[in-house]
Amino acid sequence: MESPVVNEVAASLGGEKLEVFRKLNLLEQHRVESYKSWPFPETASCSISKMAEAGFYWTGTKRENDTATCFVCGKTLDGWEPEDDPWKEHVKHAPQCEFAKLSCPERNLTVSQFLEILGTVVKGSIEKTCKAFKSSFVRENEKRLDEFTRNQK
Amino acid sequence: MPRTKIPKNSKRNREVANREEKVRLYELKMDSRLISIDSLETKFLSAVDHQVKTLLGQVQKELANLKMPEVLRLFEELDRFSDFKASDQTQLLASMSMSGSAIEGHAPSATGSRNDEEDSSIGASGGSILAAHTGSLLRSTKAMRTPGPLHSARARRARRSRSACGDLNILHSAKPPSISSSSSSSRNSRSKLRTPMASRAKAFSADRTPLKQKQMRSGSPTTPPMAFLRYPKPGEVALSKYGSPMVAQVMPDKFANVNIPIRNGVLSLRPKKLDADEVESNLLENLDEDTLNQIKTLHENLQMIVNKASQAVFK
Repeated sequence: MESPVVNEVAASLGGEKLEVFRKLNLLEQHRVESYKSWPFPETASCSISKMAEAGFYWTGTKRENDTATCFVCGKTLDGWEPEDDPWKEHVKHAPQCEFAKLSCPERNLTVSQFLEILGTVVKGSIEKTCKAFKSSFVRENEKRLDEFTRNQK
Repeated sequence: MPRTKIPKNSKRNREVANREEKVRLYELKMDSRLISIDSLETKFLSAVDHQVKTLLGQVQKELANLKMPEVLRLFEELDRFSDFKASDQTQLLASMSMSGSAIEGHAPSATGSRNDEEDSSIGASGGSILAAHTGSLLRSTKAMRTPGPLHSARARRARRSRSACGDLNILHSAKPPSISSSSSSSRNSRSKLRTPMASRAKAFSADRTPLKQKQMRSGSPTTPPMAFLRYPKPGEVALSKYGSPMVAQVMPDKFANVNIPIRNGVLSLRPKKLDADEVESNLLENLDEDTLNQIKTLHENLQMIVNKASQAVFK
């Protein structure tokens, strides 16, 4: 049975004004909604709600449906067991993650802490985009260089 | 018979040199493009830091210490009258306009209309500030994803991000895998293995030297601008490359001098003070345009030598 506060939060999240957070899975409710197929029930230690609380959103497939990724550090974990504790696994495999260091669920976060995490997540997204673009840019131009060299000979 | 081989070799060498020069230019351009991408990334990262600090500074202490569930409920009350004081509302509205001006790369009209709605609402609360700043941060991220040269390629990828794997593209892990226990009795969740991408080795700076030398040589194909020449010693025979030996009878001067060829002879300048009366206009009329340009170049070279020599003497 969910508490009334959680229901109110879920209702408020239905509005369009919070959709800007969904793209980066910043809010716990958005992370819960990302789990399309999860092999463990709500009674397990690594249930959907507990996974989302620890910062994980679903990045699995039909074949590997137990894959989840942290929205802050980007660490992807699979091979979950029913008795795994998401927070402990998060700290174990990603000790440098700011969210794992905090070990604080969203309901206890202050606005200041949330803004710090927001900045970290946005900067991580920028760095990821730059890295992907640079690698594709270099790869395409190296193809052109190979074609040029082959044609000249 | 052996003479016919020389032109072919020289032609082949010229083609190889052209190809290598093009490859070198390509690498230079690639390096400059990658550097500009890095500077753009740094610019956006610092913009994010600035906006987060601005937001933390503007938000009131009571609001900053609120828990997230309460703030999320405030988001729902964006259209209602706020409990904050009038002065606080003015301060928050000012921070909204400041954040609007701080953003680079203007958002499209659809997003602009949403901002207008938020600005027009009376009694804006802290939640709208949070939403506006978050929207601006995310728009900054979105603006980066449409670089000029590969816009069409990125447009295709943008369509793929709508699929279930879209989140993977955004926050896919690229960090090395952490060590997990190998015992089979207690199996722990393991991280997916990621292959680190090999970084491309940059070209050495020594490779760029031939280009500079070639540029220098193209200016004067026969003789470099500065060369140490030796006069024949008294009685020494100077051999000519084009015929019989040539006996040099000119004795070397002890003083610096400049010889300027003119139509009917050579104008020799000595390191003495030259008056305007001594320079006859008839001699100067015989100078052609090429010689005049050469004299200007010599003047610049001499000035450079004088400056450097003066510095060396003073040290």
